[in-house]
Amino acid sequence: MTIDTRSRERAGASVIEAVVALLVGLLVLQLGLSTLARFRSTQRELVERADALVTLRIGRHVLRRELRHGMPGRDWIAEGDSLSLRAFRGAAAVCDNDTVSAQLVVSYRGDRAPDPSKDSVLLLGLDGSSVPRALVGAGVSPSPCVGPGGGAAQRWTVDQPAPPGTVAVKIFERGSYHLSGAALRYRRGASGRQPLTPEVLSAATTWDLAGGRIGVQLVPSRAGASWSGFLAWLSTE
Amino acid sequence: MKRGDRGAALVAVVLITLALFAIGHGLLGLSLGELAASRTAMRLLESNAAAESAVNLLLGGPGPSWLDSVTVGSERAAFSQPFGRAEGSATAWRLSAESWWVEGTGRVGTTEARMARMAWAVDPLTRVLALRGAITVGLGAPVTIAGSVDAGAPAAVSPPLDPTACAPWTAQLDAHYAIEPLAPVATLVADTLPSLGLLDFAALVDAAEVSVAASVSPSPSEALGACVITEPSNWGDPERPWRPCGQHFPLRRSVGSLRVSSGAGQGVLIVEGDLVLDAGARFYGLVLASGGLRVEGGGELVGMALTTGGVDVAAGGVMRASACWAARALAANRAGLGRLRPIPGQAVLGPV
Repeated sequence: MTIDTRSRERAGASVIEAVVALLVGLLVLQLGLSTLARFRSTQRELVERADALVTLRIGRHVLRRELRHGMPGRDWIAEGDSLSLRAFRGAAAVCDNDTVSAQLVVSYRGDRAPDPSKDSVLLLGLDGSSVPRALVGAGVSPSPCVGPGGGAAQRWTVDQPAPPGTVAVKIFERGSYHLSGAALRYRRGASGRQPLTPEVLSAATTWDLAGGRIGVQLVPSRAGASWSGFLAWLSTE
Repeated sequence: MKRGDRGAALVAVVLITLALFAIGHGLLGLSLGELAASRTAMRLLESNAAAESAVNLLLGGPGPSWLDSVTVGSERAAFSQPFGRAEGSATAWRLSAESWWVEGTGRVGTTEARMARMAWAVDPLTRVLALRGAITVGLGAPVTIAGSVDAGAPAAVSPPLDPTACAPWTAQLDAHYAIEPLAPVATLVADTLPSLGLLDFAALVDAAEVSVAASVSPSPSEALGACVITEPSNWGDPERPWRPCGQHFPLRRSVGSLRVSSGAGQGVLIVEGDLVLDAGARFYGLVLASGGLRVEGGGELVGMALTTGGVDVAAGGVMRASACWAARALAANRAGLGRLRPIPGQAVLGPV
């Protein structure tokens, strides 16, 4: 009899325990799942913000760096969603200018080695003149050439002789930057537009041409505030 | 309590907590990565700004006195100074007699940025050798010579000059004038105002900070054994080079025509109009006038002149060509007239 009484007491308690356990379990599960969901959405938002920040940072850094090496109108121009430019990749001081063989011995420094298949040169004169030429050959110079910053001595061949009085050379490739397809893209020559940033920009992203200057308004498609920044002056010095 | 009842909720809570920790850790890592990237971008920005500031400081400041000592194909460190958190420095590399490669470097910690520009600065020898005549006049401007214009020995170093006064240039001047003798009067190739290389007349006028009255009798001004260089009518002491003002070669300008009625002076004279040297007036150096030049009988000009409006040397008036006096006057004005300037139409060099 004692056993039966205990069983009855335990049976009643078990139901209550089960219900309470179920409720507590559900509550814990609900809390866990909602917390997980919240964390997941926060993570997604944070990643989007990080992508937007990366885009803003790259856009600002790359574009300002590119534009400051060129003169507006002559070296770059903004039209529609694109910014066409001579993308300068290095500069050299001239040690020797052979106007017969169209060869220059230079001391070169830059982002990369010159590539005659895609590069051209801008020859800078004593009087502020600048003359473009196609680069048809580049190699190590047999004669020494010491220039500012300890550049590499190279011998370049151009398609036509450089004018006398050429003292410096800038090397460039033709390219264009585009604010399209939700990203900042770069197109070299006639090749495709390669994205430089994550695809996070909205269609409202645009170049800002006003007040004699060019800026860019980068508007993230989802998270984060838009960023509007100065890039360069449109008038020459 | 049964054994099987134990631990289900606890295990679930522990697992969920671990999952939350993992996600939280991931988010924290992401945020820290973003913070590091932002800090790097900030350092890069500061380095760039310091490099650019260093270049602009060198190009915007007075011309350093050491410019003439830098030979073509060599370099000189200009300065190094902090710009906020960044350390900025500038160097100048001489590409040719008058063109320079000015490079700035900015550093914040291990982050470094460089920026370079092409610059131009007057080279006294180059500018003097570019003049083909003792007096260079505008195209079609009237030339009347009744007095004396002596262009026979432009490289001569004669009293009151010290024999070593033009030592840096004597050999080149001699060599140049042996091949290309200086003409008494030459003509500008185009109908333009006087200029010195890339420095047009407006820039020359801007470079001269001290203006003089329409009529002046220059005389040296001394106080307590020192030359009072701020006095507009103090044009140095050319005939007594040992005096305190003997090495003072001022850059003076006149807004409108100028008459030098008497006295002696030296330096660079920029006149927005006509210049008249009266009897007893003597000037040693370089004259640039948008109008004409008239040397009256008894007046004397030693050096070189560029005048758009023509020249009239009256009987008894003397013009003696001296490349040495002209070069000295230009070299002495390195701080203002001869400072480094960005070349118009040329953007930043590089990337370097």
